[in-house]
Amino acid sequence: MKTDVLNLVAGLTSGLADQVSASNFYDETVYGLGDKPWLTTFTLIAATSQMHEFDLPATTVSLRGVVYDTRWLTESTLRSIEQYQRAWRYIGGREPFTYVLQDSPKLTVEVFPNTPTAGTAFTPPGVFTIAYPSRNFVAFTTEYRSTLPLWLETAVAFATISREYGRSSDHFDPDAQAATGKLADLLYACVA
Amino acid sequence: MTTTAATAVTNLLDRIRDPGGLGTSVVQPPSLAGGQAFALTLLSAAQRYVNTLERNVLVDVPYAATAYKTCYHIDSDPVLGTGGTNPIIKVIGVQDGELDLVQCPFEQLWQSDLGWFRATTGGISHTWTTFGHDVLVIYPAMVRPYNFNVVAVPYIADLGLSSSFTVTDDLVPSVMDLAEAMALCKLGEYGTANSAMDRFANRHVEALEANRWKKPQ
Repeated sequence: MKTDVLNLVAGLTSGLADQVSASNFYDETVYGLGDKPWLTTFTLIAATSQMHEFDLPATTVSLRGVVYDTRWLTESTLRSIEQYQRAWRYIGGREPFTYVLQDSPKLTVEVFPNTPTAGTAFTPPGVFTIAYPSRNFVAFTTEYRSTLPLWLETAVAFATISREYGRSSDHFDPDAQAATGKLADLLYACVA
Repeated sequence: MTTTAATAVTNLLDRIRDPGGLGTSVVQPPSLAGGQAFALTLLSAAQRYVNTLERNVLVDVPYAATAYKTCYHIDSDPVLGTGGTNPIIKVIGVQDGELDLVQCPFEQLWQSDLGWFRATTGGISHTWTTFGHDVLVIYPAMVRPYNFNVVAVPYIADLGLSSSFTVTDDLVPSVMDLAEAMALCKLGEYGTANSAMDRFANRHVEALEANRWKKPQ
């Protein structure tokens, strides 16, 4: 848990780390882990009729893939779809086979063509068994977590400490920043 | 597996020149017991990282797969996840009885079958992969509940003073080096911490080289 990591940070810095900034640096570190394939998950997302886009869960850091019903969708660029059809956002009638990721103002997935029908209703988070609700979306993502897998906690603690020693403060110490950062990278490499 | 944690704690505190444990202690007032307790925490973490790196100790966890389900969250799983009955760090293999399922890269799975997510079989699942670290995929899904064995790097529980290392003795020096680097960072001895890290990294390079299969001359 985040509190466990922050307690470890406090212990390893002998109380030097500011709890507020350490908390912020923890968040920053865990968001940074989104580029690494560790905190991965998949989420069922309800589809409505003629659905053109959906938002990814608020905890999403990066999108790695999308399934519609049974099909893994290919990723496209906005320009390539526009060259195919400028009014592509109005086209429906078939099942989506490709998507574009928009990152402004938040992570949004636009699918092409629009969904032909609404998906089978389900109660979030949904189930992935024989009762899997058909004609909905599944997003494969990396995510932010306040509760890390236990085996990542020590590495994240040292990465957080590295950021803490690197900020302007009465305990700013570039040697400490470099050494703890190197140690965090070494621990990451052990579990990669 | 004869090295006891109590011996390792003493050695670690000696190596970082804090035999009284006062600098290592995180409790107030600082004490030897506090220093020993935190040294144990560091040694436990170091043992887990070294074991994950070297895959020295593995477990074989019986795992009940659900019908029609290809993807499983690992960290929140009641068996394999944090707080589960058999918590793991990393999946190394999946077995159906004595048969090993074939591992393939996640990208290769969806490139060869766009419908992999809901693919099912009445026979046997033949492939496994992971999406990143935390999602296990068994493909195709069985149409009935089925028991597999998941071969994995276990999450080794914290050491107690009276317990022994779980990893074999040849890896204890690596555990000591890593724990030493952590403890020296705690003491603010960054130069010597760097030395310990380099020693650990070099030792691992050597281990990789030693494990590499060489064509007979």
